[in-house]
Amino acid sequence: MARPQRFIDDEGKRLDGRKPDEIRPVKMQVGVLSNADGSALVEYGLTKVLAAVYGPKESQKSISLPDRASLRVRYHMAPFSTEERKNPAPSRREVELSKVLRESLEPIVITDYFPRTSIDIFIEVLQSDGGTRTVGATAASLALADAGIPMKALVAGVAIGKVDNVLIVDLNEVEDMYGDADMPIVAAPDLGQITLYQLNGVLSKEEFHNAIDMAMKVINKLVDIEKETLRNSYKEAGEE
Amino acid sequence: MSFSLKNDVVVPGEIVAQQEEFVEGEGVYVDQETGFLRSAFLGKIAIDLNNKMISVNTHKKLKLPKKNSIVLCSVSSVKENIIFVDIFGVIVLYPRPKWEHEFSSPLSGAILSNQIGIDKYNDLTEIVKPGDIILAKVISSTNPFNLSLKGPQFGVIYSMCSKCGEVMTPINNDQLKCPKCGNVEKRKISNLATSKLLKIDMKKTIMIPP
Amino acid sequence: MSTTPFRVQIIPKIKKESYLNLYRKGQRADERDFYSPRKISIQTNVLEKANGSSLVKLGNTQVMAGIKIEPGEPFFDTPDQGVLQVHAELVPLASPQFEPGPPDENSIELARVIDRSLRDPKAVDLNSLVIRPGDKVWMIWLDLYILDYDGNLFDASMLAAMAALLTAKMPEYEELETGEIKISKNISNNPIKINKKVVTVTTAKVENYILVDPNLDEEIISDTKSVIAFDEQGNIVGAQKTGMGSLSQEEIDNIINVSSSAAQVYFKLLNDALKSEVKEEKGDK
Repeated sequence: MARPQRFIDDEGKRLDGRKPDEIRPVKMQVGVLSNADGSALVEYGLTKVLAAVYGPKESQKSISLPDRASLRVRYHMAPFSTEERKNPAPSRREVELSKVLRESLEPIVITDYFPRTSIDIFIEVLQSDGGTRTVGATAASLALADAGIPMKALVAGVAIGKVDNVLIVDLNEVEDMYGDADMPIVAAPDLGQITLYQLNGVLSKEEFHNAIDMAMKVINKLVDIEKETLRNSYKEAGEE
Repeated sequence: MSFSLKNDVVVPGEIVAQQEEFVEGEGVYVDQETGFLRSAFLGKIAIDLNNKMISVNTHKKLKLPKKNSIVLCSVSSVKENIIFVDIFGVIVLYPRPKWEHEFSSPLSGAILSNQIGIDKYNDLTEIVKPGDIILAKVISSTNPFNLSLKGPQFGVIYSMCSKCGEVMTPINNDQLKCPKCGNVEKRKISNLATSKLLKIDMKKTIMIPP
Repeated sequence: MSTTPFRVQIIPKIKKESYLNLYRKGQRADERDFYSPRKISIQTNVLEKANGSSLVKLGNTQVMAGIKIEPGEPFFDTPDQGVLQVHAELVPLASPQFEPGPPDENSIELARVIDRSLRDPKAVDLNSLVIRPGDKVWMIWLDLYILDYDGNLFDASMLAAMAALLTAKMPEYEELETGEIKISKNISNNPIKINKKVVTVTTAKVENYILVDPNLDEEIISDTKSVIAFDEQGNIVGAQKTGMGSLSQEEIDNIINVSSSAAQVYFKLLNDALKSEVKEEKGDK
């Protein structure tokens, strides 16, 4: 993949025709797996992420906490998800993303209901086209709700980037790879809380502020889609 | 209600009422920042006007036993004053015995010697032995789960002969006999183990999880 | 080192007795007859960015196959052949019994049985995958991803592998002056050359009963399983006994017979799925 000359054309459109503040087509589905207690498949454009939740189940002694449930989160990329085949052994990147994703979910899971248990959240990237961790956070949020795990609120994620001096939302792979900044954000709009942010690149103070502002608007919309998806699944389950 | 909810099906984080209006029931938590009552689950709103309580009935029951749940367990070890068990799932007895849910991995439980419901015995191995499948009642609803065997329904359902491994048949409420080698062993036997009809039901439900 | 699985399943022990009662009446718990597989769905091209992909549902078992084709070096002893690499992952989201970690003996056995059953009958024409003999060849990475586990991973994985291989497209590439092979983002319209189709049929033996396409409960109570790979002509192109327990010569004959009829069912479903694939492609244009 070569670096494009320009990321935004004279009409203000991005390489894939989107406006700077426009997200890719979003698809969400819950209850896609039969063994898992909760599951979700989420797509932003070509990025596809599957999440599954097991638990609460009995903790292994080493991770058992007397006053709350512990969360175990694994972010992992399928070998066929990337441009070049990825070795399935977890990379340092996947280890770090598992940690920041767990920490993005800790504030919203009501863990004190279930002392000495653990809740497992498995996030598998099936196809990667930028923003996999943020799509992963959205999928995990849906899978947790689908599993009936008590939550303070739903979260969703989106990445903000900077190309040709313009802030853009929901980077695809090219924009992520060659852009000047990539800032993934996960938030719970119902609570007005941001549960994950990272910055890879350079932004001014003002841009940083605007980026979060931009992300919150999009995350609001994403959580609305989550809510609709969950309500529909409830109705379908009721009809059976 | 000063809130007009668009839906009676709510999702986690959704405001269901203000703190002054209702007290929080199951599935609802108080958002201390704002004083709103919010749902903790995907589920349907239920309002109890007499007690001014608002709850959310969840769409999926969490797979954990609650206080008074009847659970199916296997005995993992028997010590001097305590019986350790692995809990496989929750069972409902009425109108007919069936799984409420089977856990994806077993949970630990313990039965203390004061929760047996029988006064006279020499040692706890006359109550149950490792490997027995038993019915018990949950008396504490946090992990590790404390269980009780008090009551005629609770006790051994299946037991393998300690000599030859065959499934034994109850001959009365505290003895089992091996149909193969004739060995007789002592246990506290659940009255459901001796009911032929219920046992057939039990087998059916053990065989086909929901 | 391979050790006896220590997980003692007590409920299955009781279940086994009840299942056997059903088998004596000629029934199975999910109302199938002994020799019919579960409901199967085969979707192809489920991933836009892979060279080939499929999603197979066999009852509640779900397997995704993804194919990546990359330039590489041939093996020393086969300079004029491309390379086929099969890997399987029992992804932890598929079952409470799967733990994160390096591939265990079960996933390695699964990948190797699939690999052998494709390699030995020369299902993939490896000779057609040469770019510069002895120097550069195509490597086909076939990754099997188990997403939901309700027994019989072998048959579901082989169907997924075959469906992905048969619909995969070779990458477009150019040879740089340095001799390097540079693949472009575009995927060509050229398929991988496939010599023959292969399916596997798994049977479980529970006491003296033989069951085609066992689900998880049936696998747990089974004494042993047999995986037999067939080509479309009915030749046996691979076989593996898996699980504890043993079989008599007579039982093996019987297993071959029932498996070979079940193979025809799989072939029909596979061919139907590929036909509808072709139709969809035409419809798009």
